[in-house]
Amino acid sequence: MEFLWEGLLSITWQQVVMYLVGAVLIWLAIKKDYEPALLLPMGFGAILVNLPLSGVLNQTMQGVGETHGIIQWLFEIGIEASEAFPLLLFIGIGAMIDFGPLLSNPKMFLFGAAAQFGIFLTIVLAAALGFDIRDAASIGIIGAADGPTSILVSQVLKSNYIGPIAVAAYSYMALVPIIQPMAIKAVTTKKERAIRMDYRPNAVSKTTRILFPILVTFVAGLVAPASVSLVGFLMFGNLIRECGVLNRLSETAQNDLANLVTLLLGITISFSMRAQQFVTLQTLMIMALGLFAFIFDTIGGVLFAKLLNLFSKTKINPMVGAAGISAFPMSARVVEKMGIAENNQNHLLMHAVGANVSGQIASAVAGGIVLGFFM
Amino acid sequence: MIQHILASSIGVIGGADGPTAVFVTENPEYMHNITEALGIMGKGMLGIFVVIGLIALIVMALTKVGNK
Repeated sequence: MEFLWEGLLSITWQQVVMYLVGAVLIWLAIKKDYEPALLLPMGFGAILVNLPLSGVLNQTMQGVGETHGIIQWLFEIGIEASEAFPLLLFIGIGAMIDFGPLLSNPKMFLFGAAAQFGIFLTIVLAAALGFDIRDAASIGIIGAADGPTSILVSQVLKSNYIGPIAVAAYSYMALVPIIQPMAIKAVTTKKERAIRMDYRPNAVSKTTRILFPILVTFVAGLVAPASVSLVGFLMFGNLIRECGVLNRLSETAQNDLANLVTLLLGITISFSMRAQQFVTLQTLMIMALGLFAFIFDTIGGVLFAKLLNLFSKTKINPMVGAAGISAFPMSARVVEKMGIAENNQNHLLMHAVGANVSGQIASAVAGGIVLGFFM
Repeated sequence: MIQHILASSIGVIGGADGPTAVFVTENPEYMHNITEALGIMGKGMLGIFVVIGLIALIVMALTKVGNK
């Protein structure tokens, strides 16, 4: 009868902690609606992989030899082998993005670049705290505010902390409406937040929309070759959307492909949430560093806008710089809401959307540039 | 030529702080990590602005050509 309680007696306190972590992620997903598409599978997966002698992981059975677990197999094939899941998801994301507001207002590109500052500052801080440079780079990339990029970079750099990095990236993306307002108010005055910006977009031709993803891939790929997979797949999805002759594929990429890969990615990432890897002091440090990265992304974008205002006759509302992070569309909505709160005639949404979609490109480029340092 | 790790150890004497000078000199790998991270920060931000700046210029050119 011992086999009935063998599992129960094998539970360690670290695994109990992971059951609680899983429960919290599921609660955040359902009750608070925080990125439920990722946090719920990750939470449930955290429970699955931490049950003693779990069948979802490879095990050695007496008289049988090694058995293969489904979650471990999904991880080895979908993430470890060639980072397939994050890259396939990028096709779907690219198909969802309308770059029109950015193409009609190209100045907004610069805010996408500036708002990646938090990534690099966090790399320095993580190195100062004693993390190995590859782990520091993987932690810093949480600031890309982009789950697939974070997972891909940390996997390619063979970081030991993929689990906490993924949890931090997705959790803080969901907390953008709480993190960003605090960071913006810390570095701006009421007068600056009330700066009015009129929206006078240039027309964008269909040819421009089609050439854009192709040219971006060329430019990013030639300057930062390691970014080709990230930027290339994002732009491939966008080209499917914009070409106008692949509507069915575009719909499939935006819906079925994105949903299927999201479903598998969440539960697969839980492989890196096994107790012995996750319940460490470093996990707490990574959660803190991830928050630092998001805050300084926001501050970087805002300060860059203020810098431009020193040289520009037409003033830019500095909050638009904060929208340069990749958390689309939440960041743009946060900036719009804060703009209305300061001046109810001031609609910053389209400017913020332009900066926000620029952040999507810039974060993928940042991921590639970081990888390039280790090639 | 003095290598950068040794240069860091010599330069920190100017901090006029013995424990810091000893720490920096005794932990060359740690200082190498920080130096490398600072290098990544500088080159990384420059690289992103170069790429994004080029893309922005191309888009502005495309928009002008497309609107003619």
